This record gives sequence, C-alpha cells and structure tokens, in this order.
Amino acid sequence: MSGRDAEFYVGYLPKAPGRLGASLRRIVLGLNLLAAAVALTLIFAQAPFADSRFEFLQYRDYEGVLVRDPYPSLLVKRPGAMDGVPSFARYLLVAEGKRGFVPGAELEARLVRLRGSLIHREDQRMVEVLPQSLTPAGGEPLPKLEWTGLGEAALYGEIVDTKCYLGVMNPGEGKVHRECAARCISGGVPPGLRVRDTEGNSFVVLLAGADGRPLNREVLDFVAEPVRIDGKLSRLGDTLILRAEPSTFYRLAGSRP
Amino acid sequence: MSLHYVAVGWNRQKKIYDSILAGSLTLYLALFALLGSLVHPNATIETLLIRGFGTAAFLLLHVILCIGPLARLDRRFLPLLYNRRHLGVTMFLLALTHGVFSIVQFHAQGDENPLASIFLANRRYASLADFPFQPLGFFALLILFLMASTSHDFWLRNLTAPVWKRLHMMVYAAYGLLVAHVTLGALQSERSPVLAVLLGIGMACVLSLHLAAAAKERRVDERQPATGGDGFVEVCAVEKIPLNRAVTVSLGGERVAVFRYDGKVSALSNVCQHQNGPLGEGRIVDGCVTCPWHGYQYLPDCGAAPPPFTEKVPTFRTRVVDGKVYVHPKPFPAGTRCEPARIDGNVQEVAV
Ligand code: HEM
Ligand code: FES
Repeated sequence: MSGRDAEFYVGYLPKAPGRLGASLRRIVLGLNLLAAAVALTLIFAQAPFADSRFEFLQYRDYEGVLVRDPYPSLLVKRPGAMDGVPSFARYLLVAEGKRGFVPGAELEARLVRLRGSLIHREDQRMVEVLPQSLTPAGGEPLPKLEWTGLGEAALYGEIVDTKCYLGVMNPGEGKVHRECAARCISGGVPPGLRVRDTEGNSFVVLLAGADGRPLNREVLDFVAEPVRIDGKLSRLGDTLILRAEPSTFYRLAGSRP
Repeated sequence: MSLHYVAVGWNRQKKIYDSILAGSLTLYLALFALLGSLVHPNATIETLLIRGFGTAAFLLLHVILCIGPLARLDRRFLPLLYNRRHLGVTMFLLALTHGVFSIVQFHAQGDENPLASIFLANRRYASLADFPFQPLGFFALLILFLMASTSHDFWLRNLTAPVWKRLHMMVYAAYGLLVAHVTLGALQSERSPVLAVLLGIGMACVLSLHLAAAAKERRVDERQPATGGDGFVEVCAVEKIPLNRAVTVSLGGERVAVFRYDGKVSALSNVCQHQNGPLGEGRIVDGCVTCPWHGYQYLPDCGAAPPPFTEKVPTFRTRVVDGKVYVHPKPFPAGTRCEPARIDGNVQEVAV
C-alpha cells in the first residue's frame, strides 16, 4: 500500500489532507485541459457553414409584382436590365415562423408593396413578410409571366425547406435538420430540391406537382435524404422549377450527395 | 447523514467543488461560442449554443460515469465522487438547455405541437441512417430528469435504497440512448471523422474503466476462504489488516468489511446504507467506520450510525486465534451488537 493511501478524504471536514489536496488539484487541472481540448477539437471539426443570411429583426421595403406560380413570390424589377440577364429578381415570400405566406387572391399579378426581412444565399432570395405590411401599389394587373419549358430532367439532390436552407438556419440541410425541414414544409414553406451543378455549386430548384400545384405534406417523407426526382424542368428568370408527382420520387439509399 | 433535510447542503468542500465546476463549464461554453463564431463567422449563435450545451452535457456525463470506477481503482479520485450529485444535476441542466433550445429552434412556431413534433416530424422509424434521433435524446433527457429530481437524500430514503439505486442505474440506459442520439444525428451530418473518433474514445474510456473496476471486485469475490468446522471462515493474518482500516472478503456471496482498530477486530457488511458505497475501502475516523464516498459513519461493533443518525448495516461475529482472523458468514440483523474479537499480543504493524 503506498503512502498516499494513508490519507483519507472526508468531504464534510473543512480541508482535504495536504497530499490528497495536491493530487486533487492535478486531477481538476487535467479535467479542465480535457474539456478545453474537446471544445477546440469540436470547433475545428465542425463542417463549414454556408454563406447564407437572415436579416433577423431588420426590415426593408419592397415593391414588385405579386405572383403565385405556385409559390407566393415578389418579382422585383432590376434597374438597368441588360440583355441576357433577367429583367427582374424573384423574392420567395414566407411568413414568420415555420409558415408559408398566404396573400389574398385579389392581389395576384398586381404591383404591391411589402415590408420584411431579407433571407438570401448566393443570389437566391426570400423575404419573411411582416404581418399586415402587404398593400396594393395601384395599377392594373400585369400580363402573366410564363415558365419556359426545358424538357424532361432527372435531378439528384436533397429536399430542403427553402426558408431554412436560404438562411434562417445554418446548417439548414442534412440529417440534423430533417425534423425542422419537415415542420417548415408542412407549415407551407416552399419545398426545393438542393442540387449541385458540375462545378459543385449548390442551388435550389423549386418543386411542384406534375400539374403545377404547390407541394407540402406530400413530400415530407422524402426530406433531408438523397433522392432522385424525374420531372419537367422549367425556367422563369433566374428560377428553376421541377414538376413531378411525389409518388414517383425515388429514394437513394446509402451515400448522401 | 442528517435527520433534517435542507434543500441543498453546502459545506466548504462542496462550495469549492461547485465553484470549480461552474468555472470550468463557463470556460467550455464561452470557448465554444466565442471561438466558434470567430472560426465560423457564418454559423448562427443558436446552432453554436445548441451544440455547446449538448456537447458540454455529454462530456460531463462521461466524467460522471468514469468517476465511479476510477475511485474504485485509485483512491485519489474519491473526492470527486463525494459531490457527484451536483455534477449530475448540473449535467441535467446543461442537457435541458440543449433540449429546450433544440425544441424551440426545430419545432416551435409550426403547424404541430412542438413536443409531438419531436416524434412525428421524421417518421422514418424503419430506416437506420434516417432514424429519428431526437426522440432518443428526449427519452434520455427524461431519465436524467428523473434522476436529477430524485437525487436528494430525501428521495433516497423515501424510495428506499434499492429502488433508488435501480432508478439511478438507468443512467446507463440514458448513456446508450445518447450514444445513439449522437451517432444517428450529428454523425450522419458531419463529414469529419474526428467526431466519430472522439465518441469512440469516450465510449472506450467508460467501458474499459467499468471492466477494470469489475475485475478488481471479482478478485475479492473469487477469494473464497475455507470454512472451519464451527462455521467460522479464516480471512487473513491479523497484520494483513492495516490499523484503522479493513480487508474486504466475500463470504457466502456477500461482501464483508473486516476492520482492525484499538486492538480489536469487527466485521460489517461492506455495503453503505447511503448509496452502497464500499465501507471496506473506508477507514475508522473518531472511532467510527467512515464510508469513503460521502463519509457516513457506523460504530464498528454494532453497525449502527452514532445517534442521532439511524443508518444500520448487518454485523458478523469475529474471532482471532493464533494471529489469524476468522469471521462467521451468517450476518446478524442490521445494527446488532457483536462483541469484537480481541487481539492478544502485539501486531507487527505494516507500514501504510
Ligand atoms: C428533448 C431532447 C433533445 C433534443 C430535441 C435534442 C436535439 C438535438 C439536435 C437537433 C441535435 C443536432 C444539433 C446540430 O448538430 O446542429 C442534437 C445533437 C446533440 N445532442 Fe441532443 N437533443 C436532446 C437531448 C439531448 C441530451 C439529453 C443530450 C446529452 C446529455 C444531448 C446531447 C447531444 C449531443 C452531444 C449532440 C451532438 C453535438 C451537436 O451537434 O450538438 N441531447 N441534439
Ligand atoms: S455511500 Fe454515501 S456515504 Fe456511503
């Protein structure tokens, strides 16, 4: 039996015996170093965070044409539009929380004003509309802008809720975000398919039913995991939409893209 | 060891213990959130806090689980055990913060009750890789809540020690749930193998320390002394028991602590009535057997705590013949006085 064993610690006595106190200090120091090492390792091992933004509690005014094709969006004219660049930018519209935005049908295709917080990732944008801030800006309904068909396409990716993916949460995709993505899409946030182009850039293609209807609960079982979707791809301005029936979505088991 | 319960009994050692704990945790969380937001300027603070609190709780749980076997293997860790209850409650509060933040962040302000949403948002219960990991965290948190809320000695007494002990053994179920919570959650999203390696190291520590401590106890249990004709069992030579300490033997499947003090030998059950601490690893302080874990005391000749305390442990008859210690394996009811065996002549003291 070694010498240190002779010292005996009784917690309710005011002071621990000398040698025990010394080894205790070493143990406590060791545990603190361990905690710091774990914190540092975790900080540096976390996957990088996307450059996405949510201007929480910051509000801007917007003016543009309200459309529902099928997801409520504001088409805002770009100043000094050039050839080859779309003459307007699309801002998807959502409500606060995990909710879609539901504008009145009478404002469809009209010039409107609204106030809200900007959400953006790369050049894909969205506005969280401040309640009661949507007002008509006058004028007659504008001619409807049509999607241009790009033909059949098979896209691989992950279904995300556009609100979190574009900036409200970071990370806004992947397994840890699955529950939240389901909650948001179920509440009316537009679902999108996060795809990668050949250069590895990620962007979102909106998803709609084969008949163009908005999708929400129908896609819940497929969110946040690798899927293949075969459908009709269309473009309007800088936005892509894939029209396909959820019953034909194909789950890719195994590797995550 | 009190007849009156105070909400939380703090003494000098516990105050030191708790302030060190609070300091270390503040350091960890500050490091995680502040350095985290410098290294990852795009990360949202909610994510860093959820991860900071979750990992702090999980790290602390590893420490808590390792202290028990460490104290068995090396007495220098015993002081950490003394106030382990505060570690447990603190760990629960960290986990609760992580859980509540997660529920608010991922489930609130939607079209479903946030608590129901934990179970309903992801329905892929039949898949392994996509299995809902949050319900696993929820059930673990529930267990930790039960343990934290019954951790006080008031509950220990009112639930009775065996029920309480069983309840608190559920910490291992909680640990298993949390390993799954992390493996099926964060590890499915993160790409770095470092996190999986870290979890593996944590699990290896918990497992190997428990196995090592169990092996040590098995050695005591396997040392089955021979029984004499009169039922007394030879334990060891008198000088094998250091003065004011004990040797632990297994008699008829029960561990018995045999103490030498004041030229006498007494034997008691090894199991402390408080939280089953090993009395045989304790020591005689002020004439009382003193438990190494939280210092509960028992008179060596009758196994009863000195008044006004009321804990009692079973006692055993002892005998010393020709410098050898014998114990009768049949226990007397807890608290029964049992004449200590006298040691005739001098004992060759073993240096301790
Ligand atoms: C209602 C209960 C719980 C919920 C809803 C929950 C939710 C979550 C979520 C959503 C994540 C992923 C966060 C991310 O990576 O961004 C996570 C990770 C984690 N959780 Fe929990 N959790 C719960 C309980 C617990 C408990 C009781 C503990 C441990 C004591 C714990 C420890 C962890 C750890 C260590 C991680 C991995 C690190 C991290 O990514 O944060 N969780 N949890
Ligand atoms: S187990 Fe707590 S004092 Fe013995």
